[in-house]
Formats: sequence, structure tokens, C-alpha cells
Amino acid sequence: MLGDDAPGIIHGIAGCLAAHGVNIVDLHARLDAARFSMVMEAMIPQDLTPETIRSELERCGRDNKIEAYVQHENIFLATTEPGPVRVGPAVRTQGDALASH
Amino acid sequence: MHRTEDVLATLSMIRQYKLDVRTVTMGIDLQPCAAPDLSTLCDRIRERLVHYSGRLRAVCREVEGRYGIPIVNRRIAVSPIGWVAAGQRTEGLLAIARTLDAVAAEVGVDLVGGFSALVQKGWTEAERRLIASLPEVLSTTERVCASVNVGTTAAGINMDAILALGHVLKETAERTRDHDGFGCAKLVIFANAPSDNPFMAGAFHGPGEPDCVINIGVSGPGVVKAAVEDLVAHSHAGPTLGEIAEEIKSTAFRVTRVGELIGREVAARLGVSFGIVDLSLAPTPQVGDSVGEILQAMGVVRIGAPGSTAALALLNDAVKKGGSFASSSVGGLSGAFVAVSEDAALARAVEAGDLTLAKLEAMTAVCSVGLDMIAVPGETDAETLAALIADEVAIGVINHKTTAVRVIPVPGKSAGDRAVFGGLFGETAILPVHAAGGSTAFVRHGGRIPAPLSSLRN
Repeated sequence: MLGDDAPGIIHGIAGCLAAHGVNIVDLHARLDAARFSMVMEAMIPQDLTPETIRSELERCGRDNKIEAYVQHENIFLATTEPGPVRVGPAVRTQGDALASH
Repeated sequence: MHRTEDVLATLSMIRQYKLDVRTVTMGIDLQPCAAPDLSTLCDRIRERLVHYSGRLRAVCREVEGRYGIPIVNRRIAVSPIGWVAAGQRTEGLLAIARTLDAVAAEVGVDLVGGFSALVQKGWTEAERRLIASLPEVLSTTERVCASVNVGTTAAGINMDAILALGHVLKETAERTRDHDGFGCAKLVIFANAPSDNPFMAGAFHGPGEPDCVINIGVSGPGVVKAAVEDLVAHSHAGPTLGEIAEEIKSTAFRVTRVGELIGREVAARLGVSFGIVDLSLAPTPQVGDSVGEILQAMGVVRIGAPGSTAALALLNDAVKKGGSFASSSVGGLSGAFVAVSEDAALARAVEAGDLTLAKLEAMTAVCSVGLDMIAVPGETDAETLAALIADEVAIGVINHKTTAVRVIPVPGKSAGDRAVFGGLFGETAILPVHAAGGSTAFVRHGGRIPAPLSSLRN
């Protein structure tokens, strides 16, 4: 999530995710000048497609005047870690699991 | 938790700089289809292609949705038809081409490569007929792409085939005169052709490959250009060339990793082997998706000026280093393409007179894939086209690398006129061919240029 800082952004996004059964497992937010950025790791329920949560979160982002993006964890693992590329569901135990699709 | 900087860097590549997967190409071995009866052969080809690729389009869509990374093209590469069609006459070859065209449309791929012959040392009767059939195949099918390998470092250069191809280009251009000779854009003439190249028009499923395999062509040049521009903009004293190379290398790492991730996922879902990631920076006519613009970002404002070859060498090498560290499955062509009509900045440089045929030939000595999407005057004779091909093939054969020629003699047009091919094939000014006709006697000797010495290399 990227955008101008304002009270209630995290509340708004978290509420949107909770409404769709998405479980936030890690979260880091910071402020550079007035620029707000937040990276969130979340578990998506099996019956929710990535396309659905992507469009819902983008809509929620617009309501809160921020840009919201959804990407699979494997993309970040692939582009930042030199180990073998991992494919398939990245489901591990809750707490360090990030996505179920 | 991932570092926020890493997440944002990857996100900006995807969102801002349009990171994508340029092609998912399924290689399919058609040799089990061989049959003396033409009808049986075509039926078997259709059944085998549908069996393996019937779900390719749907699976690519699933993976796009999962990762949010666009897959721009889906393609099929088949075994060289020169092998599969052994014993067939010309009408058989045409029937096979039409079968490939129809199945490609049916399964939803934009191009099918492999109407090919590997004739570096000599040609079979089927391969000779295949080459003779190319003008009709390329002018009457929509999706079929052809390639002919005319030289290898191990075998030398088949000049008989090259001269025949000079005539094929002339006839193909004439048959597609209404479209500026576009049929020639679907024919690639290779030296040291790789067996696992996913990019068209030169893809085929070559020797040593399994029944079915997924090969990947990674994102275009836009991501690399953005990284170089960003480095230049945020460096107070201006980056050194070493720092630019490092930036390109780390960008290539990320791009390659995304390509491998998508390729492995598609292959796993289809239950077939994952083959290779091709690191080639393949341009499109869109502004911002140009190898030429990367060179400009590096400071070669006029492409074709002295320094262009050195800049391209740096770019090509840095991409390979980053990609090689990213993946153990790097293959195909894996270099920067200088496809003139498909690259807006290169096309502009040709139009301005900065980029000449001679300079392009020099640049191809340090990158892949060769004289690509070059338009020349329609009056250029077959022997001169053959000589042009021979020069480029010689660069590949002597330097142990792949080179290729995709040249279009545009009927009824002269140097400086525009050739318009449309879509991803773009448009370009027509390049003059200096001293055309000056090497006719040389190419008419025919025969084979012997394989080069592999020692005393200076």
C-alpha cells in the first residue's frame, strides 16, 4: 500500500481484508516525509481467488486514497533470494505462511 | 518479513516498468507422427499438438492471475518439419503447414515455429522441397514460422542453401507484395541455431529435446532501460560504466527469476518438463520497450555512432551475467536483439541515417541475434541477399555463436522509403545495400565453406 498518510488507513485496509476472511500474518508500515508505505503478508482463504482479492483491495485502496497491490509471495522470494525458484502453493504453518493460492 | 525496499523494487518493476513474460513457448516433438500416408501424418500431428497444447492458453491465464504478471505471447515450436516430412512431396509439405496453422488457431497460440530445415552440411530431398515450398507456405498461412540453419561452427556454411534462400526471399516478398513483403518476416536464416529458442520466428524443437517442454522468453527491454535511467538520474557524478553494468546485471537477475518462476509453474500445471529461460531482451515497437533506448540511456544518443558496439557488448554481457546467476536453466538465444523494425529507437536511427547495414553487422558480432527485421530495396537481387546472409552466418560460424538473418526485400520500394509490417513487427525505413551485385560470382560458386579452425584463435 502506497499513498499519502492519513489517520485510519491501516484500519480501513485491515477491515477490507477481514471482511473477505483474509488473515494478516505480518505487517510493516512506515512514513517517509508524508509518504506512507505498508507491506503486509496475508493468508488468503482457499475459496478466494487472487483476482478477487486483488480487485477488492484495489477498490478499498481507492476508498482510502492509496494505491494497493497484491502479489504472490513467490514473486518476492524469486526476485530477492538466490536460492532455487519455488513454485506451487507457498503454504507453510500459520505465522510464516503467506498465501494459499 | 521481506525487506520493504525489496518489495517496493519488485513492485515498481511490475507496475511502473511493465515487467512481463514475453513468451511461453511449448516445444513439441513431432517425430512420432511420421507416416508415409499424408492424411495419417496430418491427423497425427493435429492430435499430438492438441494433446499437449490444448490447455496451454488456459493454464497461462491461471498463472497470470495467480502472480499478476502478464504473459504476452503463447507459442508452439515443433520438430523441424524437414525431418517429420521425410518422403513427402511438395503438396504434403503444404498440407502439413496448413495443419500447423489450423491447430495454432484452434488452441489459441499466436505463432507456431518449426517449419524448418537444418541443412548446414547438406540437405535431404525433403529439406530441399521444404525450402522450395517456403514462398507458398509463408504467403498462404497466418501463424506458421520457418527457419533454416545454414551454418555451424562444426560443419561450415552451406552456400547452396544460402543461394536458394536468396531466391526464396525474392519470391516470398513478391507473393506478399501488398504487405511490403511481410512473408519474409516469418523466415529466419540461422548459423548455430539453438534447439530451445522460445522466440519467433526462429523457434523450433530441436535435437536433444524431450517430448514436450516449456521454454520462456523473459521481459522486454523496458525494465532494464528504467533501471539504467534511474541509476543515471540518482547518481551525482554520473555512474561509471562498471556501475551501469552492475545495475543491468541485478535487474537481469530479477527479470530472469520471474521468468523461471512463471515457466516452472506453467510446466508443473501442464505436467510437462520445464526447459529454459531465454534472457534475450526482445523489443516491441512501443516507446519504452526498446534495446536502442537502453543504449541511449547509457549515453549513446545517436545509435550507430562510434561506441554503439561497445555499449551493446556491455549490455549483452551484463544481462547474461545476471541471468546466469539467477538460473541454471538459461538457454535459447539469450542476448539483446537488434530487430530494427520492431525497435522504435533503432528504426528512428535507420531513418536518420545514423544506423547503417555495415554498423548493424558489426553490432551483431557482440549480441544476438543478427541482422533482424531489416528492410532492403525490392530490387536487391537474390545473389546479393545470399551474400548478405553469408556474411552474417560467417560471423556466427567463426565466433562460435548464433547469428541469424531476417531480411525483407520490399517490392516496389527503394532505400529511404518506409516499410510497414504492423503489430509487433513494426515499421522501418528501407536501408540501402551498398555495392549490391558486387559479389554475385562469389555466391554462385556454391558448395560449402569449410568449418573453421578451432585453435589459433586470434
